[in-house]
Amino acid sequence: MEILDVRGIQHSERPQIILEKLKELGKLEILVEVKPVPVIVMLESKGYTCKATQDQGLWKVKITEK
Amino acid sequence: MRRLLRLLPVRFFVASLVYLALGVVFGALDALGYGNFKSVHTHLIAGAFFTLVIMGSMYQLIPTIIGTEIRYKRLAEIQFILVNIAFISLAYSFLIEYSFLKVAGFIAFVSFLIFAIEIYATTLSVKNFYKLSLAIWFFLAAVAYLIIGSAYALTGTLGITGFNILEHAHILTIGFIAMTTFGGFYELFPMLALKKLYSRRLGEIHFLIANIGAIGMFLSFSQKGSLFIFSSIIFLLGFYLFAFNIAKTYLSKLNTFVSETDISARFMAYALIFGVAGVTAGLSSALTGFPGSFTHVHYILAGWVGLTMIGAMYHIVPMLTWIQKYSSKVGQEKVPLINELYNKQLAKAIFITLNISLALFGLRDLLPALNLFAVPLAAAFLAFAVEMVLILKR
Repeated sequence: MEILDVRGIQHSERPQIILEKLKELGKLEILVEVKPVPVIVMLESKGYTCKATQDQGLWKVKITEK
Repeated sequence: MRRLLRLLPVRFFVASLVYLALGVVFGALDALGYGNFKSVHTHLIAGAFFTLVIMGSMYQLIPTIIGTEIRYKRLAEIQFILVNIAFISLAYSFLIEYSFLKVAGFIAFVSFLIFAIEIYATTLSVKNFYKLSLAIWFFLAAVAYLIIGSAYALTGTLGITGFNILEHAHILTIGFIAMTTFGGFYELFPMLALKKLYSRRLGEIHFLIANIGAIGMFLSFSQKGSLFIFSSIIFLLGFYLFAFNIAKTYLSKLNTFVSETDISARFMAYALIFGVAGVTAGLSSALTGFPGSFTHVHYILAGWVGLTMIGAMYHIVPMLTWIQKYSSKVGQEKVPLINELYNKQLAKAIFITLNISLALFGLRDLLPALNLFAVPLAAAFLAFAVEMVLILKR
């Protein structure tokens, strides 16, 4: 699964970049500073499954199609 | 915009902006000596604007945080209509027919009760909800104070119990508005500043201290004796603890590579400075009369609460707009970024104007010439209200 580190990207640019990657790849793992609750809710409403885990202060969210 | 208005939180936000615009106009007219509009100004801003933003935010945030949906959607729709009838009736009572206040108060109480049922039913439907977010603790406490404060006002207006306006104002501002703002800060600020909350444990201690202080203040307001001073100091210490926790969060070691702070987080960071100044001014005014209640009220309500709400709306409104209008078009056509939905230069201008004019206007009891800053302050709030509506239309 491709890993996308969004920590260098502005907060407001992230949803679009994540969605573009998902449309292209179908699944994705993102690395993020804080649990991206609103993005997870948005992705789940669009038919994706999100599994968020915390590892040494970093959040990893695995996103797959349902 | 019609599609967005189908979302309940958006309807609350749009209605709140109308009250904000009317409230600042009445406030500015009052400040400049064109009439006595204090009651209507207070109830449109601290009542209608704050309450509707809080309700819209809770309807949006609580299901998001705890991973569920609003329990009774139809009831929430009815509650939206009732709460608007209530605030329009309150404004009518203060402007035209004071005797209508009893009816307005009753409608308001019913709408608040429905809101409380909705929030508690939604939250309690999720197991271990209290572990999911500290914000939920504050939100549930805030809703309880809303019911107590509005019941107190209603029974007082009907002549069933005694009525002390400062008690009424403080139950609703400290109990309902401040507790919600604390919760909103704990949830949103770390997320927007891309930082981890410095200490959840300190936040839990703050929750305890804030509620002990607030309840002590409510019980002793009429005497203003030693219990009142003691409770005020407890609440103040709780506020300092909260500010310390948030400041440590903001200044914590960067775990991000993003250099520019989000506009919403910037509004909230400056709101915190007004909050600390406002609560300190409150105790100092009660003990020594300096700098006076006007500074205390305006730094707390317009500064801390107002700037926090503006910050929160600069996040929530573009986000909801983008998700509803553009997220499904990603990959098919060019879509704007979330931060392209608002005018960045205008946001900066609003940020600077609000901070400077509020800092000076809040001191008008010390120097009457500063009263003139009511004009840029009102203009900045109005510009914000218009910009939010334009975002929804983009």
